[in-house]
Amino acid sequence: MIMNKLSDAELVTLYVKGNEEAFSILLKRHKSKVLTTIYLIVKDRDHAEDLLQDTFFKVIRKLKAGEYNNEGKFIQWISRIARNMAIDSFRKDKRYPQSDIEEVPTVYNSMNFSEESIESLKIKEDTHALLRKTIQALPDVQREVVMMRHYADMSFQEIAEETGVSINTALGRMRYALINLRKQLQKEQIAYDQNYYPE
Amino acid sequence: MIKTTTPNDILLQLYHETDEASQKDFQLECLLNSGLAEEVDSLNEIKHALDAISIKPKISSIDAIMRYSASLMNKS
Repeated sequence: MIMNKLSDAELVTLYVKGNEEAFSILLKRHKSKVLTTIYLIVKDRDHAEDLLQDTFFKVIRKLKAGEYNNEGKFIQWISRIARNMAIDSFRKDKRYPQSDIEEVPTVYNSMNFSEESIESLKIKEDTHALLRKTIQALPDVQREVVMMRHYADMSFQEIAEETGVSINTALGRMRYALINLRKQLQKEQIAYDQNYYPE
Repeated sequence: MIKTTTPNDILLQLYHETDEASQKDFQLECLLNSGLAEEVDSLNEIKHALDAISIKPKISSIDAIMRYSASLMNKS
């Protein structure tokens, strides 16, 4: 209970000293963001799960070997490892199909959901799947900024330093990414409305 | 003095990467400028959607990771 309130740095210190529960909390805290980062690169759910395991195996080995200095943010460190593994894997084998689990949604309605009925949950799932597909279709530099800002908790200044561009360039890429995503989602909504509410 | 808000300023506000005084100025500006407020709302909607799309790993993946960690723990 108390351990849940510890910072990542404190949990890492405990884990290195042999506390397994500390690692369990770190994993629980960051697993979804790391998996999402990987999935947005490799575009295949099963493969993303495998790479998630490989990422954390590597993280465990590095922690045990004392190769993490605990100075930066833990999530940024893991995300960098995950991104590099996903990109390497994607380059090695470009045969990855589009996800067979998350089909392009046939139903798209609205991004505001007031009722959590089965139907609204289905629509929400479809919307999320569509958004993931849309992110995957973004130009690489835009997708990279989205992943770093949303799933690695990096500030725009940190993203600029990591990618070797000015902060204005990083902000510009994010802006175009958001605009592109909005346009694509609006297009899908119009298609939905025309299918379900013909004039 | 008329303050000009750039697209990059909007993003920094949207992601709360500015100081408190600047945030208050921006909120006031949004109240006075409906076009700006609409732009912020629209981008904010996408931003929240991006936060909501994280996918959860399978239990088997989590179990495999914990087993791996435990196996190294036993060796050390």
